[in-house]
Amino acid sequence: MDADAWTRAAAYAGAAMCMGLGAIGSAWGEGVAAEQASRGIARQPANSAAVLRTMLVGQAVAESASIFALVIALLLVFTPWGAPGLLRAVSLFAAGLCMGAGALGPGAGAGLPAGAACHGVARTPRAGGALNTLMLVGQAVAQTPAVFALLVSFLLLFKDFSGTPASLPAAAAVLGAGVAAGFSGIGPGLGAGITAAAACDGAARRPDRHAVLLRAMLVGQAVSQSTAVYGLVVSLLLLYLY
Amino acid sequence: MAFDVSGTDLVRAAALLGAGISMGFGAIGPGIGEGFAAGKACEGIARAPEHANLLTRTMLVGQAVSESTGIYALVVALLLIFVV
Amino acid sequence: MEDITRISQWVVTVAGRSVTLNATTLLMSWVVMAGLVGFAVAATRWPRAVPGPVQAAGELLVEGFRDLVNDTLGKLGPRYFSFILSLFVFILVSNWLGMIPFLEEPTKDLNTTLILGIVGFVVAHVSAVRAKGWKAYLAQYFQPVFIMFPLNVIGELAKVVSISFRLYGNIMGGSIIILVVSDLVRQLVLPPVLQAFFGFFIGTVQAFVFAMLTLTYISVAVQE
Repeated sequence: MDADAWTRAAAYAGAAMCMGLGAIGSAWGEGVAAEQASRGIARQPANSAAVLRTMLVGQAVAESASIFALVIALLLVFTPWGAPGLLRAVSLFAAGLCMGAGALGPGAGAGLPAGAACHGVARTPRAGGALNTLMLVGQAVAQTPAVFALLVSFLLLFKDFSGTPASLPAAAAVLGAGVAAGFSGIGPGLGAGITAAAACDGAARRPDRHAVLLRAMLVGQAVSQSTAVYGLVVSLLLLYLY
Repeated sequence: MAFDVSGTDLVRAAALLGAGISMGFGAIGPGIGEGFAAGKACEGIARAPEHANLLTRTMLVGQAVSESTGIYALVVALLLIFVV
Repeated sequence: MEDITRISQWVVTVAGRSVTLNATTLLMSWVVMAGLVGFAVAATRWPRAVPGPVQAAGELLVEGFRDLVNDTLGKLGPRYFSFILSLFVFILVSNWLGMIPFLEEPTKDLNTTLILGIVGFVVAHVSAVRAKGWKAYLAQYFQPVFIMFPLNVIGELAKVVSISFRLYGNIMGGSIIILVVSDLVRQLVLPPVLQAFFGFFIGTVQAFVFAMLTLTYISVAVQE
């Protein structure tokens, strides 16, 4: 096989990894939101309109991680990626793997606060405003690892490898960059979701305490994300030192 | 796409890929664990907001300890990149 | 698309050494500072019993943050209040700057976020020494056993890395996504929505997270 075929094959394999892995988390998260919403409506049918609205907004945010994965997969399939070669092929596959794995945790994590908020809105409709704010902020912070994965995927896609001689260490560094940024997002995404879900639960019980909960949630989420940041650092080091 | 692979090249390549794997997979556990700690702290603050400061400090100490394995992963990754 | 990681730089020779300055970042930081000074003058220069919109916004910001800092730090609050608030408004306006055409976020540059993180780190550790004394300060690095000393030091340094790369990664990621999407779709509907999400929403949340984390690190350092 020639280099062009290898590069195209790597791009298609990357696209498949990207969308295949990237769909798991969001789908599960949205399912959690829908489950909690159904449970809430079954208990309090009178609040169904408010619960439905919260569920749809929450699911839309939880979906954004898999939309990032879709964007990268489409780019991999439909864009001609310049000069083929070993590094190009590995970087295309790594970009797909990175975004796919990076969407796993944030997608699943963003579903948890959506579920907790739906449950809370059904139980205490007057807490609706506070719950929606907490849910949205919590989900946005939970998406941070997906944004890091998207950043590294774009850097892998658009980096110009024509000046770098193809060697095994350089290829390993490129693949390692994708693995570091992608898989490091799984835990922090889930963890930030668990935190936000607990905060939403608390605010549903005590709506008057939502301000102090928002603050505690943000600090807790930010600290639990530091390992995703280390993943980004290692990935940038691998990309730009080799 | 033919090129020669020497032993040192192979070792270097394994070290660089290993750095990515170390940090990528090493980050999973601490992320989830710290999320549990922060979640429980939020629960406690909802119940007793007057202890918010104490709870936040306890949460941070617990998170710092559960983050230590993530820091080991970072140290190993940096060693693999710069030393090996 | 090749300009995705390009930065405009000035290379200046000072006393025989060449110093590289990131022109855009420097200029944009000054734009942010000028904007903040302008806002402060407008909010405080002509105080009125019934505040106008600018004065009201300023008072809301200052009072909200004073309560927050005093809640967390107790009687030490007033000493750190202005530092935390300045950090917050500087990062906030920096993150919002990218929404204005032809302007860029200074926080998109790692140099800016790293120095902000280092400033917070130095303040926290100096406060710890002042509050506990050298002996107690050094002793905490040998907990639980003395063999943990190097890992405790790395853990402290990793805080600087995580706080500054978190801000940098979010802002840089947002701006690259906007750039790539605008280039791909070549239309005007999607980019403004993304600007509102990444610039306004994520920018506000990350500025608050940065200020809150610095505040919490200081509070952990001075208490116990």
